[in-house]
Amino acid sequence: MVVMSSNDGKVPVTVVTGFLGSGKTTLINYILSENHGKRIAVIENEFGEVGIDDALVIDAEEEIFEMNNGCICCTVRGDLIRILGTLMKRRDKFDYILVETTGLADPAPVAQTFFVDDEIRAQLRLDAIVTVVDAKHLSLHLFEEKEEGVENEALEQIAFADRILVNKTDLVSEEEVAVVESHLRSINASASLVRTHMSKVDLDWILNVGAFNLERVLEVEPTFLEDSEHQHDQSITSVGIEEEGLVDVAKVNDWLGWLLGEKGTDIFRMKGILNVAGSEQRFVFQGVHMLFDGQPDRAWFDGESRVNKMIFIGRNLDRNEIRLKFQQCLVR
Amino acid sequence: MSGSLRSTVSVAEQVLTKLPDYVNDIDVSPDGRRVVACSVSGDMCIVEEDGSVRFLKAHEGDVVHAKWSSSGQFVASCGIDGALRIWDRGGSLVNESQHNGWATGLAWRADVDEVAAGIGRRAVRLLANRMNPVTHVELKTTIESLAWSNDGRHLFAGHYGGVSVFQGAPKPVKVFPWKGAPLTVTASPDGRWVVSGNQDASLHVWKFSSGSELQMTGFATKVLLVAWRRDSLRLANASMNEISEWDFSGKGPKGSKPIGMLGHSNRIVGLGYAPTHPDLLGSVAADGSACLWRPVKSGNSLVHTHGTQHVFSSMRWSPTELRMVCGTSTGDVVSISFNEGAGE
Repeated sequence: MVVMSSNDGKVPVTVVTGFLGSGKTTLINYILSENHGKRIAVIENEFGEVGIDDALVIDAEEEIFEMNNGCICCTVRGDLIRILGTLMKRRDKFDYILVETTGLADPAPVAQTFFVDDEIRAQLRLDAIVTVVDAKHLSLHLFEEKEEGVENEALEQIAFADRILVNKTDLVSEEEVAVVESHLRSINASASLVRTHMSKVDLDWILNVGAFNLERVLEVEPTFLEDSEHQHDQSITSVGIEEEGLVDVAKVNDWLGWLLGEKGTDIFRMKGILNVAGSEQRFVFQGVHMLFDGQPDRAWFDGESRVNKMIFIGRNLDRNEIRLKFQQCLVR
Repeated sequence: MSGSLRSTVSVAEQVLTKLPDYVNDIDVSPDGRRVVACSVSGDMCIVEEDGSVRFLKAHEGDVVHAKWSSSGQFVASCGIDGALRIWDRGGSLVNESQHNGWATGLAWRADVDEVAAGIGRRAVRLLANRMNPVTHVELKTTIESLAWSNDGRHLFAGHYGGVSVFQGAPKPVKVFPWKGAPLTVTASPDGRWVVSGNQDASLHVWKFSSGSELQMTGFATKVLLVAWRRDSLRLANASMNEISEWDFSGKGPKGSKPIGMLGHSNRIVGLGYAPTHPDLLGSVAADGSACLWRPVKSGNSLVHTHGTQHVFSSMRWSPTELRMVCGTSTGDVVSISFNEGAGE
């Protein structure tokens, strides 16, 4: 099990993704220009100028390291390891790091770098993945025909997100924004959305949010879409499970192990809170692909509804199969 | 000095000088009389035997490596500014080559004053006495580490996807392909073996003549430190706080178990066999400990542990005495001499 959530004294890192022209660089500039009192290092994957005093901006050329064992969760970003490695040596001088990916970047190796590379894991913590979408052009990217085997990065960037900025809302009608938001929620039901113009957003909403902290798993109440009304012609969706009952912890461990073994490549993010038989505490878990972390959390409050809640975001997920398998983990 | 050390060891520790920030690399001149150290601050210093220190602004941004030539006449440095530079002992710039990308994997040839660095995806070679550098063909991925064969004929470049071998020509003469990310590459002194330490917590070994390969896996963390004993019969590597020594005699380590050595409580940042005592291995770690080992298959390999207040970041042995020089995370340049004690 990979411990993904411990954050003692670690420097937080926010990863900003989004398609070219969505407003990522505008967001970075906005963050840097706001009076937040933080000394921020920015790692850019797209060449650009960020002329802000007191901020270190480093260009990186995306380089993906796949490992010999073929495991998708061991795929990391070599360029980030190099750059973050040198930043950490002088970490006293930075208290926040922003990573701006290219519009075509796969978010998985970026996120996994923070859990798989031991030196980075020891000193930094991935705080959140923030995705900026262009409200006017989103559907163009979402439904773009790709050759077989070629990923649709726009979809994946949304699927991995903890926070989504629906940007350029001034360029579209209210109805169009509502359609865009419906698309976004059907892909990723657990991310928080906010409408923005010129990427202007409350910084507390995107910085230091602790989206990978187990304690904050499902802090955002997922919008569990039960029917097919919102389903679009897309392979990446969210499957939410909400079930009452007591969970047999051994069975659920076996099932999650099986699920990740079988479908870990297709499951991008998952989060959940479980009501474990024989325990007065909530059990919380989360994962990125096959990287998985879970632990007992706070005690259930008096009168709190002890409902098991899980959300899986991924490709070709079978809601009925997942629900059925989960139900088999309940204590009869 | 004899090749053996009694179990009673006394240690003399001295801070030689201080750089402004984290010491990335450190080296001792072949005559043992001078030390060079470099920092993430862009500074480099040369410490003379009499304790006098010359500071240089060597690069814009981190100086990644600094090393003495085997003639002892020159120091080379490389930095994240993409520059490879050669300096004389007095700190005057002798030659330089500037490219796009980070420069890393600095390695001097043993037979002539020629140095190589990986700058982005290119291996660049620079002679002390000729202005024009030799620039090899661009590889598909960024070079992480370089090493020369002892005879100076081959230059090994470790990069994601394997190890490329260069001679004089711009293109590699040989490639040892492997789907993984080598972080450090070494050639055994006798030229038989090429070994890389890797991102996926493994060692990968190629026999130079045949290209046949084997892999050692299961280390706790990625492998950044690999050291050969002078006779090429042993190789040590460090991963997190543990050292392993492998037997490369005969047909090599295939199927064998390493000698494991645990003495540090935190990440090991420096590892090497002592040139004056080839059976002794030295290591330093971020917990401030410096250890001397004599690897044995059964029993305790630890000869001595010296605790300090430093957070070490790098280490090199003096070629002429049982003395380590170490860099620290706060910029200190520290000398640690081990002396044989009065008795058992």
